[in-house]
Amino acid sequence: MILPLTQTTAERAPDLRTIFLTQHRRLFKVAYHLTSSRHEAEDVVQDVFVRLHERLAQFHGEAKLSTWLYRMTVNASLDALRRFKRRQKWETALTLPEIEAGANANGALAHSQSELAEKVQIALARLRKPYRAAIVLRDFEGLAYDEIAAVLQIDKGTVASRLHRGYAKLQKELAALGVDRSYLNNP
Amino acid sequence: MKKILAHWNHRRRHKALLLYVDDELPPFEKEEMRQHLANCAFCNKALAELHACRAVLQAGETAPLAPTDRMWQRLVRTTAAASLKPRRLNVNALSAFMPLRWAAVGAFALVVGLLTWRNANEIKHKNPAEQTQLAAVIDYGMFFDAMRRETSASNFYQRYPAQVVQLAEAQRAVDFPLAAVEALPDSFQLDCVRVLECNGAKCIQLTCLKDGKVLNIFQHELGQSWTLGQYAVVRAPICNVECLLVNAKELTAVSWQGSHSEYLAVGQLPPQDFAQIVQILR
Repeated sequence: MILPLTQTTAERAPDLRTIFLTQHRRLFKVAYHLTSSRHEAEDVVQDVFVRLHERLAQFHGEAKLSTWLYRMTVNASLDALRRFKRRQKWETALTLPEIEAGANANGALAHSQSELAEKVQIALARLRKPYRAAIVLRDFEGLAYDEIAAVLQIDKGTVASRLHRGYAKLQKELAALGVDRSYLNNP
Repeated sequence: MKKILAHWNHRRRHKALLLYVDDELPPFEKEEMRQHLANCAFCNKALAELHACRAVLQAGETAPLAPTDRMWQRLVRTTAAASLKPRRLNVNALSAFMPLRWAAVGAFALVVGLLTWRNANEIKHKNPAEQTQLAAVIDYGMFFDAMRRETSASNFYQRYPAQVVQLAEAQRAVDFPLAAVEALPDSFQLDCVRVLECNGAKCIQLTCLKDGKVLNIFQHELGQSWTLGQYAVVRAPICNVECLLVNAKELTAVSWQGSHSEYLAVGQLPPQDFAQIVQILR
C-alpha cells in the first residue's frame, strides 16, 4: 500500500522557482516603493517567498496566488516601515545609491531620471501608508480597483477614497519638491 | 437653490474624476461626466493635474531589480533552514490585524491553559502502563539529537533497532516501483525513525547511515516536502525529489531521488510503532 504525500518536492520546487522568476520583479517594485529601500525591499520579497514556500500547496488558482503575494508584500513592507520607524529619516534625507550610480554612468539624462525617481520616492514616503499602498498598486502595478480591494482587504469604495486623497496629497508633495508636468519637459 | 444644486453636482463630479480616468464609472455616469467636463474649467484643470501627477509617477518609477541566481540560492537556503526550525507565529503576516492581536493572544492563552489543565487531569487518572506510553510520546518531543549524544542506549534505539536491509531483499518484500529508480545503493541502514513534536507540529525524522555518514531525513509537518540534513551541517532540501512512503508487511521504505543521487531507506518497525506513524501520517 502506498501512502501518497500530498505534494512532492519534485512537483513543488520548479513551481516555486517559476513563481520566483516571474513574480520577483513586480513584488520587489511594490516593496521598494513602499519601503523606499532596496535592501529592505529585497528582504521583504525574500520573506514573502519563504512564506509562499510553506503554503504553496494551498494555492490552486493563479489569481488567488498573485493576490496573496501582493498582500503579503504590502503587509510585510508596511510592517518593516512600522518596525524600524524610518519614515522621518526618509522624509529628510533619502538616498538611492543604486540610482545615483546609474546616473553617473549614463550622463545627464540618466541623472535627471534618477533625480525624478528620487523625488517621486520622497513624495510617496510622505504619504500615509494606506494611501501609499493604494497608489503603488494602482500606478506601478496597474491593478484594477477590485484587485486592490482584494489585496488590501478593503472595499472598492475605500480604494477609490484612498486613491482620491492620496493623489491630492501627492500632488502637493510633488509641487513642494518642485516637480510638476513642466518638470517632465524641462527637468 | 439652482446654484446650490450646481455646486453640489460639481463637487460630486470632481470627486468622481479619478473613477472617470480609471474607467471605473458606470456608462451612464461616464456620459454625465463627459458633459460636465465640457462645461467645467475647474474640473478640467483638476483632470489635467491628475494626468500630470500620474505622468510624473510613471516617469519617476524605479526600475525593478531583476531576480538573480544569488537571490534564488539565498531563498533555497532560507527555506531549508526555515523548514528545520520550530514554527513560530509570524507577526508580520498579522500586521493588518493589529487591533485583534491582543484579543488573539488572550484567546490563545486561555485555550493553552485549558488544554494544559485537561492534560494534567488525564495523566493523573491514567494507570501506570498508560503513563509509560505518554512518557514515550513526550520523548518524541526531543528536537535535534540531544538524546543521541547524551545517552548511549536511548529509548529510541530500543524501540527502533537499526537494521541493514539488502536492496534485493527489500525489493522482494516491498511493493515498490524500484525498477523506476536507477543506481540504488546495495544497502541502506536505517538507524531510527522518530516522531518529533515541536510547538504542536509533528514531523517525522529518519536517521540513516550511509557510507559511515549520518543522514537525517525530515518531513516537517505532514504532507510537506522531505528535507535531508546532516549533523552540524547546513541543511538543504533535496531538489527534484520523488518521495514515496511505502508500507507493506510492516516494512517501511522511503525512497528519494535527488538530482545527483538516489537512495532507498528501509526499516522494520514494531507493529504498534508503525501503526502510530501511519496514523500520524494519515
